[in-house]
Amino acid sequence: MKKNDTIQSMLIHLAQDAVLPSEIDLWPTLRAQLVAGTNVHERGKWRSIQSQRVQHIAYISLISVVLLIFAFATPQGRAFAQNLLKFFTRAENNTLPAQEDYKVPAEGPRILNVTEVQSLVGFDVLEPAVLPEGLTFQGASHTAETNTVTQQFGSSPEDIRLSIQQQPFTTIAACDLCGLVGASASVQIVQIGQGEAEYVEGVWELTANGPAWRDDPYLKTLRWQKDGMAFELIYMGSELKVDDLIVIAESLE
Amino acid sequence: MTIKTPSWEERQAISRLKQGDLGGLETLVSRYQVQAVYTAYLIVQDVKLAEDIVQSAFLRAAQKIYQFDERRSFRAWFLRSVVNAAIKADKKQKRLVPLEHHNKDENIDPVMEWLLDPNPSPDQYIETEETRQMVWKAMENLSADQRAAIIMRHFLEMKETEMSQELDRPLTTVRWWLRTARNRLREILQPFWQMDHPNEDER
Repeated sequence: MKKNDTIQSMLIHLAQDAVLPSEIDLWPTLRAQLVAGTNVHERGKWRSIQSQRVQHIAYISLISVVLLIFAFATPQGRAFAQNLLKFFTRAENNTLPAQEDYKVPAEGPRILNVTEVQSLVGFDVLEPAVLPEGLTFQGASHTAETNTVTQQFGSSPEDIRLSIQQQPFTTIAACDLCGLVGASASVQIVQIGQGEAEYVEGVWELTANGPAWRDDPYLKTLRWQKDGMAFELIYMGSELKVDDLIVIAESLE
Repeated sequence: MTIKTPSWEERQAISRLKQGDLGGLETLVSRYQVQAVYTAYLIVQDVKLAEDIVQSAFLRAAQKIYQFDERRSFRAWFLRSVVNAAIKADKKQKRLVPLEHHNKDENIDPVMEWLLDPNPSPDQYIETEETRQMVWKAMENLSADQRAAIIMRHFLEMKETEMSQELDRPLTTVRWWLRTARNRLREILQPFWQMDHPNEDER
């Protein structure tokens, strides 16, 4: 007997242990319901559950701040750096000096598929083979200045929850995906396949006095390097945990 | 258990139902009720709830039969509705208990590894009452989505691509269910996870 046959046989027997086929007779009840013109479905027994994403809109703006900070983590920002981490750089404290000129690298137009963005870069763009329900590919873009590819996933273009960035890694100074985290940030070392990765929950929030680091479980960032590539996976939300993000990261192919 | 080929009788039943003859529904109920109740039961793990789900699914099918394209498989169309309703019902019940309250049994992990590994392989387990109970106990620890993925794959004998099509979910989502099912079990069973698992990739 093959494996699948054995599993199927087990499942059938488990179901038969609960109720024998001869005991299943739905037609009398169904007929009665049809005659009466009612059914449990119409009574709203199975009303679907709508998930609440109250914080979502607020955090969209935080992503912009994160992008600003990646750009901000330029030589001046990196002067504070300590080389305690491999993929994040820890700032000396939880605030950074305000700067007048935040320069954000110009992002190219959002391109609808990976094949198109692939044609603009000189490396293989890796895509996730597994994604939780509700997250589907919404578009990719290429930032020429840093040669970074960004793929975005969500339920719609207006509801982006996950982004995966990929950039060829040459040096830490040239690495756009190796920016600062606050001095107090808790950086967790995790395994992605055979390699190490770093995971942090939090965000640089822009204040009147400059960016201030805030621990925040809603914004999750995972960074790692593999085969000469730096990767960053950002997830906004509370549904997925670090282990879920690792599953996505490990499925890149 | 598996009924895949639509018979002349089934085509006639669908045709009768489309013309408003409820006798057609009776034929379809007779043909699919056991497979449908078992499918729902294996997901929600409650016989009464499973029967309610299937009754509602038959009523919905009767109401929407005019939308059914007879070139497609009624079985797939109908069982998709049952699986989706069972997932919703189970989520509504919030049947999952906190992780620390799950039953742990050191004999489950190799059984689950075998169950969740999609690669065809020779049998490692002979079906016994004991192994059946281990499979059941391990499935209790999965989410409804994950249980549904296993039921569709192994009970309804659907391929990943079919599951994706019938559930109207991306292939990445279906793979996610299967893969997280394995990872979740690994987490649950971690205290007992002492064996080496060198070949853990699914594909």
